[in-house]
Amino acid sequence: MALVDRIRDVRPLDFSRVRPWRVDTVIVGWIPHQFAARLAPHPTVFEVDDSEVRLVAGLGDFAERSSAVDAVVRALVAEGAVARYRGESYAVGRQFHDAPLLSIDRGAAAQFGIRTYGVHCNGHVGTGDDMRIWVSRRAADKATWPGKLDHIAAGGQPIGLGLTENLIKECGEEAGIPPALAQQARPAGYVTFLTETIEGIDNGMIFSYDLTLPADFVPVAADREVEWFELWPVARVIERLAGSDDFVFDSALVTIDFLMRHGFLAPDDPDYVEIGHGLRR
Amino acid sequence: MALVDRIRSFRPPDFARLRPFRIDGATLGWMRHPFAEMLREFPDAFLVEDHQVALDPRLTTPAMRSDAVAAVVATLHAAGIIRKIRGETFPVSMSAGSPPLLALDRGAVPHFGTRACGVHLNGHVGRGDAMKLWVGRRAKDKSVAPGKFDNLVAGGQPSGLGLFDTLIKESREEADMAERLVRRARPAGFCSYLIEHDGGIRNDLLFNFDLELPADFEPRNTDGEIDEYQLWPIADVIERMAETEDFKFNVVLVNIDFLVRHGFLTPEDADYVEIVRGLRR
Repeated sequence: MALVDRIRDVRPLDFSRVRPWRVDTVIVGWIPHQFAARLAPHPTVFEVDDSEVRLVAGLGDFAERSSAVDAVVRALVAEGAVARYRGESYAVGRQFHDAPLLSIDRGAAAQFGIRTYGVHCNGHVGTGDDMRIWVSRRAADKATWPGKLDHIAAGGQPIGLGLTENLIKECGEEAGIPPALAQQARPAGYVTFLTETIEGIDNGMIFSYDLTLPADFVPVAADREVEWFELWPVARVIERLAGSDDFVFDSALVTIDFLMRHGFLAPDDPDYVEIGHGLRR
Repeated sequence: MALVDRIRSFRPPDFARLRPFRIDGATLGWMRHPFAEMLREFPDAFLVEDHQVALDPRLTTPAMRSDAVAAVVATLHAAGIIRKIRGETFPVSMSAGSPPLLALDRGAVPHFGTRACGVHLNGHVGRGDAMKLWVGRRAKDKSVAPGKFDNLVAGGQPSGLGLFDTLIKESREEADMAERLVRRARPAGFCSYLIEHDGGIRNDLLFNFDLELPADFEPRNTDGEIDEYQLWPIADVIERMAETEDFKFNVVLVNIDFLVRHGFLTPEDADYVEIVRGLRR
């Protein structure tokens, strides 16, 4: 087993299983065919044919589009076609920095295959070969990826919040990192993927932040979503990443990007370039 | 002007003007049609068709391939088609780090459009917002990019050397740096691009290395290829790259990658996603 296996695990989406979701001329998501069939009974909001799903033209502005789609999502939650309503709005649009065309509940993101954004914090102690990385284990009863290994703090990017602002919020909520410490985190690029998991379509862009933590800092699970935090030597992180799929797949990508940026992967390794390309697709 | 303009200048080539160069069915390079047509004169080495140029499959070993291609390169050099023979070969392989299929003279690489690898070393002093970067100015009589700003050390990756060996050799030759100092450099990923540049095809992959240097370190050029070294505040590097084309074209990519990794570009910037995307293609 090797690190490159974590890259290869993230298989490209099988486009024969999905059809594009268009708003005006923009493809904003990828919808599985059987879910497209669930949208067909809502012709005032969605035009569904064999090749694509279109948001009905003329629904109005951002607020009107969002509210029309939200009504359908709530109906689908009631029918059980969408697992749950999260009460958190995600932006839907062409790309991150463009004004969103509408918003949609986070609980429906995987069915509509929209690009979702997130922030992950690589919390580490020390530099160079003495570096250690904080690892968390997700609670066994967490709705998504229970029991998997994860970052010290990470979160989805809701609409209307700045990225760094969101990072500071998640650091506080998930690990008890005080804002004054969290704001020392430095942005360090992003990873992307478009794949299908047991949770549905995952079309993600995760912004990575590196945070050097003092040696005496101990994270505190502010809620019951984390089973434990442990400070691991880099070699142990690499061994676990290479030898198992115990990390959430996206956290594995972000961590491998961190390892590459900080000089823990050897560029002479024939897998190096495949790994590098696999981090942004 | 902005940094993203430098990224946009790496335009993908017009593939209608090129045909693939294949070995055993795998695409190893891209040639312009007029060059491809000239290779019809050498049926013992190349099978030239309208949609591709294939290396003769009877050439089954790296040594046979290298000898056959070298003979053609020598003839084309004598005919003035390939202007310079460099006397240094680059490996041609399926991917960086995998066994070479043949060795090709460096002067012929832009004609065959095969992947060329290089090593680039960013030497910095200090960390965080106080960081400074060593910048070299290329000699005015250099044939390539005279007078442009460069990394502390950079060089092409020849056949038969490890990446670190090349870095150590180039660091000694260009900047009079001791091996024990260079060994502390940390690999930090790569940049890649495929463009038409200066009359040839550039299909490059640059391995980035970072080296934190002591404040009293002074590079000293010994081979006459660098006129002077200067230690620049990061803000000056960013401004000069954004406002001018004073840096060698590919050094800009290496430096932007460095800036992204070290948190000097903010993901809230509307160009961030495009900039990061443009670093590896």
